[in-house]
Amino acid sequence: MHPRERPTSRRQFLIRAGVVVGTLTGADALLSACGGSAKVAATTTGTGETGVLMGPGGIPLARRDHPVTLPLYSDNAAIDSGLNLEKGPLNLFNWSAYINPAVVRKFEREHNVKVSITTFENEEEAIAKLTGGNAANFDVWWGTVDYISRAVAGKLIQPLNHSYLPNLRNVWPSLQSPYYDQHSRYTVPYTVYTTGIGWRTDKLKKAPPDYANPYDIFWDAHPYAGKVAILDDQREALGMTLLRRHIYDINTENPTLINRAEKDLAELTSLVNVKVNVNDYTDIPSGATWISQAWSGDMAGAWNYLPKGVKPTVLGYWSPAEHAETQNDMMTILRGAKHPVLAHTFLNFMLDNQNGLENLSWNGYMPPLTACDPNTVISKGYIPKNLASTVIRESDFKKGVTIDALTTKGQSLWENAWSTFKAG
Amino acid sequence: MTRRWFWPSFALPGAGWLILLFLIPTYAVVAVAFGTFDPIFSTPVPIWNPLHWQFASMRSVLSGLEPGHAFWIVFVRTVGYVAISLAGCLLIGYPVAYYLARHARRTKGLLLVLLIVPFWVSYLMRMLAWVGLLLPDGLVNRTLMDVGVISAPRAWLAGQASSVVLALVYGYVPYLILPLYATLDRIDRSVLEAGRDLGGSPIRTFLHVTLPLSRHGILAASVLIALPMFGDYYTNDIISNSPRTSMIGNQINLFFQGGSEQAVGASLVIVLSLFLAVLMSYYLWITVRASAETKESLL
Repeated sequence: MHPRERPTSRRQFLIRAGVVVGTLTGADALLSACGGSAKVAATTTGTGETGVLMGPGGIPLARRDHPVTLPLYSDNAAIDSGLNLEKGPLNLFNWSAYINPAVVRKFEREHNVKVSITTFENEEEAIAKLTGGNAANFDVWWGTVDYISRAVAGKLIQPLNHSYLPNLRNVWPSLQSPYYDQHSRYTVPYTVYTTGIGWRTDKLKKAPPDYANPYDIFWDAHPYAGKVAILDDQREALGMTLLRRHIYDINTENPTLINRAEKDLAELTSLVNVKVNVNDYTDIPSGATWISQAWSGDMAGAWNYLPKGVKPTVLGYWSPAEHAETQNDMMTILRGAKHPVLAHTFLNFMLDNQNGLENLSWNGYMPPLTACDPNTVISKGYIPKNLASTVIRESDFKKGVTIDALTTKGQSLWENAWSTFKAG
Repeated sequence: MTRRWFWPSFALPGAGWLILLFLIPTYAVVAVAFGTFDPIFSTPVPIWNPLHWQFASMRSVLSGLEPGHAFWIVFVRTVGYVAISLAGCLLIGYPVAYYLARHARRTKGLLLVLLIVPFWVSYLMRMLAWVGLLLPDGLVNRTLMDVGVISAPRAWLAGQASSVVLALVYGYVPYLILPLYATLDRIDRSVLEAGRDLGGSPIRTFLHVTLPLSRHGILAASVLIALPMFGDYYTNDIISNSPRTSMIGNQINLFFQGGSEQAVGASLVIVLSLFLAVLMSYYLWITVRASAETKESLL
């Protein structure tokens, strides 16, 4: 149930198998995909004249201290204002289990349209589908910060017309014009979350907050060998080792730092036989894992997976007050959307305070809406009181660090380090 | 002329199938391995013309295959797991196939059906069932503790090589038994009777007659299960998912999941395929030699 990657399910296996078969048999698709993007300015990534890292299509890589206004293109304009709603159906392309079906049904009732949802398991899979000629089949796509500038450079998504989005005012002021998309030209935020440590309070003698450096718990967990897990996500896992060493630039492209992060992580294999998965939300409640790197949204919903009779107080979650890995996911409208007005209406619907809260009640991930303050979320019973640390305030978000897009060279460095770690 | 092409034309669908779903896809993998990637989305861009191939990814894989390096470690581990699993499959599968071919009479049909039953359930579902059995409070641990083999639950799913091998054996043993049974069932009984008539004990007859005659069956069945085992990644993913047990299939899957290094994944596929081609060549050589020997003995 998390935004970045999913555990291997039977469906995922079949999808992967399909991707492999597709790779093997889809020579034409590969060619057409390549042809499609080749039409776009294919600037090599690297460092620009001002020392700013340049991303695909010549768009600077957004950093918190270097906000980026995504470019507009004459052949990719926003829709006009005041258009009538299309009849639908509205086609959503979303992470699996990432939107409350009741909220979707509410939208269907309110606008008398059908909504169809197609899911993906990770952003790479989504991009492969969208660039493989499927973009026209969907209206709304859920993106992540590290892929948005690519999607703009590749003209996969269209600019938004804010006249259809009055609820954007409900969003935290800092995310009404986020650093990765100044003026919300192409995106509106969907959820915010932190990455921290989840644990079983009834199993550990010393909890993460009891450590001077809570990340040290992973390297000190010999008594719990086999019960320790990290997220199966290269940026998250390697990034955590950087934060442990108080290196807060988790988008570094310095090979020395990345190699050291890999070696630190590799220590966990020999020290605690670390498991690598994204099952934090089920494995901690079931007791299969006692300490895990975890996403706040997963831990917020983990109490739903506790065995009968086990109280939510057995679950703990910690993330640092400052320099926590904080992320946000976003909704975009695809350039080839057949129902762009309906898509704008849907985005606006999801930015409604009440709808946002209802969505949170199901998936555990907080929308960055002003109405979603910790008191409301806990008093309404969406999250147990002992997991209040999973709730993010705007001030927390501002103090965090984010996983941002890398240059191609940087991406390669991180991927190779991850592959070396995974080789064992 | 028409008659000349009549029977060979029956091979056309098979040939078409091979070209469409084997040769072209294989070349696509090669084109990706020696290709480049899309500068915007990092998706692979195959290069179809060999004159324009780029070898950086293959060089990266080959340097990783030097002793002590990441791919070497994974490769050696994979060979070890497959060899042990293959031995386990043979130890379990051969007696079963032998019993079916030689001693099961009225029950033969029933036993054959039972052997096919696992195929009714998908491989993935059978592996997931093992997860339930191997949990800390699962049936395996409870049984072993009840009979006093272990005093505390063993963490079977926490990156144990033994669990991965166990799962591989369990998953692939039915694929070994069936071809082995077919070979053993075809052995002429009069040959065995001759062995007995010449004073051979049952064990000597088995060692000097049955086993040599089933050698090709053993080899064929071994090839049949070893090839997919080498590329297997999902068994490991489900049962372990630890870097400590990572196999070459897991590494290929890792690279193919996305990012700008998919050409490295494709290069690994080529290296693995070449390694398996060497094993296959040995099998083919043995088969051809046996066929020639049979012809000579008939003459």
